[in-house]
Amino acid sequence: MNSNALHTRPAVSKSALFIAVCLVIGSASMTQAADQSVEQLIAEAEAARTQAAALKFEWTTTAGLVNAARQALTEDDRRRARVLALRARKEARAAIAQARLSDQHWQDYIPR
Amino acid sequence: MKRVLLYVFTLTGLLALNLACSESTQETDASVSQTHTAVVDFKGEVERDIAAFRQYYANKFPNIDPDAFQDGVYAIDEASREQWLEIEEFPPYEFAVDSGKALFEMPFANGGTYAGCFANGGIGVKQNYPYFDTTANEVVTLELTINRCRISNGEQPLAYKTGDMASLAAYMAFTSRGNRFAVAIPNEAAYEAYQQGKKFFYSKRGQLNFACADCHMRVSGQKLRADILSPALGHPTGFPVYRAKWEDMGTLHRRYIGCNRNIGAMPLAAQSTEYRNLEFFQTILSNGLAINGPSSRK
Repeated sequence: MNSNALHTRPAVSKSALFIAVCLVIGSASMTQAADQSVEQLIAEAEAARTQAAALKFEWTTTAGLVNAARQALTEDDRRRARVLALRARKEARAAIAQARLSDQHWQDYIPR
Repeated sequence: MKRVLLYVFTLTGLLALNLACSESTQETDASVSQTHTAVVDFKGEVERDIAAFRQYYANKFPNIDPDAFQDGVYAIDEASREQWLEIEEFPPYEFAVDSGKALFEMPFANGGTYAGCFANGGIGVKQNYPYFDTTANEVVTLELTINRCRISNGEQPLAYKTGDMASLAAYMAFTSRGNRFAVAIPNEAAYEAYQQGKKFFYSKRGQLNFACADCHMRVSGQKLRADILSPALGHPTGFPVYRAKWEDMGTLHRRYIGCNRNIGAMPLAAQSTEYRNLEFFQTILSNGLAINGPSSRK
């Protein structure tokens, strides 16, 4: 029984080591992907903001959010940059949707 | 005999078909004609807009004299009106009128004058602004004309929101007091500009998802914190205004910029095409109201 137990210990240790290595590698690659997506998110937010501005429906806070996201990225605060970029993109897309909705339905808003 | 009958039936059938087609064509022509008439009947459309707009406020404020809307929010709230009338005893825009008069009468370096750029020497003309320039196909405001006058005389243009521009506009409004707005829509291009202004007025924008009409039609007369929202009818009559919040004079487009910012919408440039079209639309809806600018506001 003891010899069995001694037999299984190295197997458990190898599995644990494998999982740990996988976690480290996975974590590293996820961090890299997250970093890339922050930059991409900022680019997408800026593109949407520009589109909203071209439609003359840009909101007052969107440019500030994009700038704050860029600033956070330069300060290596990637988590904050991501949150700000997501918020900016959401705002800009809402402004574009608002422009389209107003274009189609402005006459429905005339009080009678 | 059978052949003869067959010919008769055939001819009768063809004749009936021809008549039906003819009637159908006439109907189509009539509908096209009606559509065409509807497109070109822009004056009728605008008249209906004006009537509906006035009726909206008549229903909302049944005890207010229609002409009183020239006083803005002070037409609909007695307490605010009393304060305003007291302010008007020593009007804070008086300095701007004096300064505007001096600027207006001072010749440019080339000897030209503002008076030379306007009908009637620029005295008592505000009721015709903004107008639609049928050659350039654009709405031209008083402020735009002032700057074009300067440029054509070799001077630098003025900033549009305040300062000397507001003073000049204040003086020109002062000389037009009592004249009733009479802004015309001369052609279909002008009607298109009017429609663009109308679309802007009723379109929701900004984080608050508000249209001009939300504040100045639907909830006009109600309180927004300590302020009462003014009716849009009569908005252009008092501008430029001395606004207590600004501690300064400001043009109508300065106010548009502030309104847009208040609702979280990125403001457009003063004298942008959009704001000029909006002013065109708003002024046409206020046609017939007397100019009482410059004025004072909270």
